[in-house]
Amino acid sequence: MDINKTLNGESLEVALAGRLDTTTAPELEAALELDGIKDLALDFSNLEYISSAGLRVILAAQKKMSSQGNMVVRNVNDTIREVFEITGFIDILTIE
Amino acid sequence: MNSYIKLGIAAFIPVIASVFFCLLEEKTKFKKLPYPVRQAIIGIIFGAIAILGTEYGIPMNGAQVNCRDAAPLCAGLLFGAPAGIIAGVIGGVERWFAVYWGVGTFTRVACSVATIIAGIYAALLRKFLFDDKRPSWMISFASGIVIEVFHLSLVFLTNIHNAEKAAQVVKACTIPILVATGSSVLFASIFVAGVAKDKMLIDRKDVGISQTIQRWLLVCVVIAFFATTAFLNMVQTGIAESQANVVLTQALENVSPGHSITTIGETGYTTVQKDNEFIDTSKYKEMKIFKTEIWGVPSFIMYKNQLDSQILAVYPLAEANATRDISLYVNTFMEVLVFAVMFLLIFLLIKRVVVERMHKVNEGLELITNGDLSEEINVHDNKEFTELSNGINHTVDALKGYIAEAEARIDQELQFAKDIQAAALPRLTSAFTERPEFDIYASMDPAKEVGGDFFDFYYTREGKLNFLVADVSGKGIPAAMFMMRAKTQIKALAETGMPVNDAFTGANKGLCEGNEANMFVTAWIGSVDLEKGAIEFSNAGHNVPVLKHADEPWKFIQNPPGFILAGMDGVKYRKGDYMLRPGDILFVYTDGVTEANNATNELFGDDRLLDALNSCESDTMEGICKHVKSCVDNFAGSAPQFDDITMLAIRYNGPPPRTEISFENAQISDITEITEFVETELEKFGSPLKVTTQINIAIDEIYSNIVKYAYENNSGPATVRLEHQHEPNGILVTFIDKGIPYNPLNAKEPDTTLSAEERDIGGLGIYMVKQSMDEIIYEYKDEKNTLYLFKKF
Repeated sequence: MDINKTLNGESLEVALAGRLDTTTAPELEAALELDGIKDLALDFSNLEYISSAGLRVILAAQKKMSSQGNMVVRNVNDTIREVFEITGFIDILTIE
Repeated sequence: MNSYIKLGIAAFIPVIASVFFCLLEEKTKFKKLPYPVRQAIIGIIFGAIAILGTEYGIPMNGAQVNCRDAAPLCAGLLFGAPAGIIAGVIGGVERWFAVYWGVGTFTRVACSVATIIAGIYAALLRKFLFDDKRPSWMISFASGIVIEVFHLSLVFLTNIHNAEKAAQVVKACTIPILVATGSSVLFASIFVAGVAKDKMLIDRKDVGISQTIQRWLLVCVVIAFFATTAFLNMVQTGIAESQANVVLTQALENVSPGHSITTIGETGYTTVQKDNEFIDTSKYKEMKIFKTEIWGVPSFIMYKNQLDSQILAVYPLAEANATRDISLYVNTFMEVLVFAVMFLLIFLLIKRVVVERMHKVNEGLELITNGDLSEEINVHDNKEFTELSNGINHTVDALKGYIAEAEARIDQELQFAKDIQAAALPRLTSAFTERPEFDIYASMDPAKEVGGDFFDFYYTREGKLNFLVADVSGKGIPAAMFMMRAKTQIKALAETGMPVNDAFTGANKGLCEGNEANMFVTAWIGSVDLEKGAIEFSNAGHNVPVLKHADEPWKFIQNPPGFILAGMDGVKYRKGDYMLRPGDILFVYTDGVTEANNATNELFGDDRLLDALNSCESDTMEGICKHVKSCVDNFAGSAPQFDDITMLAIRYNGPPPRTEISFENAQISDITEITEFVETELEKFGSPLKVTTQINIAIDEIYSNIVKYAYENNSGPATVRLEHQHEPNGILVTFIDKGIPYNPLNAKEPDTTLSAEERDIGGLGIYMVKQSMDEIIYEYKDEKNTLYLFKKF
């Protein structure tokens, strides 16, 4: 999985490419340094799918951002949207 | 011995001879002799009987009586024209020469000619009137009478100058000879008919037109005969009396008192009586003729008184009536002959004009009834038959029109029925042809447009392959309709995966309901576990299938069949089993194969079936079925196919090749390798992208669970297996590990409605898998956790 981060002051944009699963989720977890970040944007344009391990990382990020700022998820494909729907993440996340 | 008894015996000789020859023809090899030889033998024997008659004439009333003519009549009428002529000629010629050794010359010509004519007459009658068959007893009897009448007439004709003597002979012979010959021929005819078992009592509907007319003609002829004879008798008697009157008057007038005794005619005389010494004349008037007996002789008498005596003129009745008697005999005989000729002529005419044409019409009608509607009837010899012919031809034309119309309609409906039936049989879709575990082929050739045979194959819900061959009793539409019922009922039950014998038991119960037509089904059903090759089967009165294992020859699976389906409610069916090894071929068929017959009604049979299978060089199931069919066709030759021919061949190729990936020590990093492997395989199976993604997610979730929890702190083996399934089309993913028993399906479901802060990530993976897969089954067996995931494409 490729993780492409763009930091702009207090806003961080993370573009993910590949698969967010048990193997790759720890990489994302490590890459997301959210201290001091007010606006987090996750770009899923090139993400193929997410497994529950990936969801755990996203949930953790959402929890943290809820207390210190704002988080949006962008360009969600149908497969991932379905996963969000099944798991109820669709109500938790802000999907653009 | 009484001469009547002698005559009776003489009359019985031709009867005995006739019965003898009839038995000879019926019971012995006499019939195998050539016809001319047989006729000659019969003719000669009957000729000899005629000679016997001549030589042993029976004296009666001063004449020699015999029934010589009966022999040629019997020979001709009962055995054949040539025999009759031979017998007649022998008898007649011998009679001609018999005068040289003491037989009377007076009737020489009459007797000779009559005997020859008797033979010829019998021959003609049989040949031209009765189509060389035996006539009825009535005709035989009448023939005897007619020939003898002819015979007696000839006696007069050949002695025209000695009519009175002829009359005496005829008078003496007539009754005995008619009775003797008539009854001789009559009994010969009746006994022969009895021996030969000819129909004696004719049914009214069998009586021909000519016979009916004959009967009425006979009645008219007899009445006319008696009326004219009585009238003639009256007139002739009157004439005789008036002539006697004249003769007696003249005699009395001419007699002179001195010559009181004179003669009158040949036997009459005058005499003188006193005091009524000979006859009492007080009752009669003088010079008036009267009839009474004098000296015991019945005579015409007239008297004249003179002084003290009377002159009597006596004229015996015998002489007075001689002329009358001759004319009566001749007339009677002529009438009999004329009526006989008339009778035959009318018979012949009716035969020619009506009966033969009728036969012609009937021949045509028979052709038409037997299906040759192109036959036209053309009997145009007279108006009535022309109308009849035209009427029949028009009817046939109209009929042809209706038949053509009906045929067209039925053809169309049968074509529909055929299509529907063909559609009801399973097709060899890719779901069957692309399975590596088996090869299958089946065919059904109905004897008519539609048939009662059927085959079926389908997967049960448990994934076993069921296949069935069945034969409904009867053929055509009724069988086809019952076939649909049977097929549906059996499939509905067997498809659920219940044991095949239970499916039969249930289907039998259903088929027995409302089976008023008493149809029944024989069927053989097999259910193969494609993983292991174990086959379970049940046989309901059906032909035993044939099996080929490895290089061994084909052999029957010996297993006693159960009762037929739809035969009796409550029957329970047994189950047989067999382990198919990879390469084994099973051939199931209906009795249309083994009971196909050839032109000489020989059956194809079990041995020829084995020979056909053993001689098959084809390796495909289709090739095997087609080879057997061509063997059956070659055997049957031109004989029509009598029954539906159905065959099903299946080869078990062994369990499906598995696609799996295993690790000795499962760890998270395996997932990448597994995912790559799965993606490659799924692409081969034609999996849609979305399914691939969902499978990837599922593998990620399940495999990571195995790594994390199955072996607690250690690691252990794990396997991921992929199987492409066809019914329904999809992918089966199986995870196997040897860790602690754990059923992920029992995991607590996450509450997906909670807010982000409240959410716990546990259990979400399994939940996602459950949501995205179509079916998940967990089992713990042999110390292994096995989790099956199925996802439709």
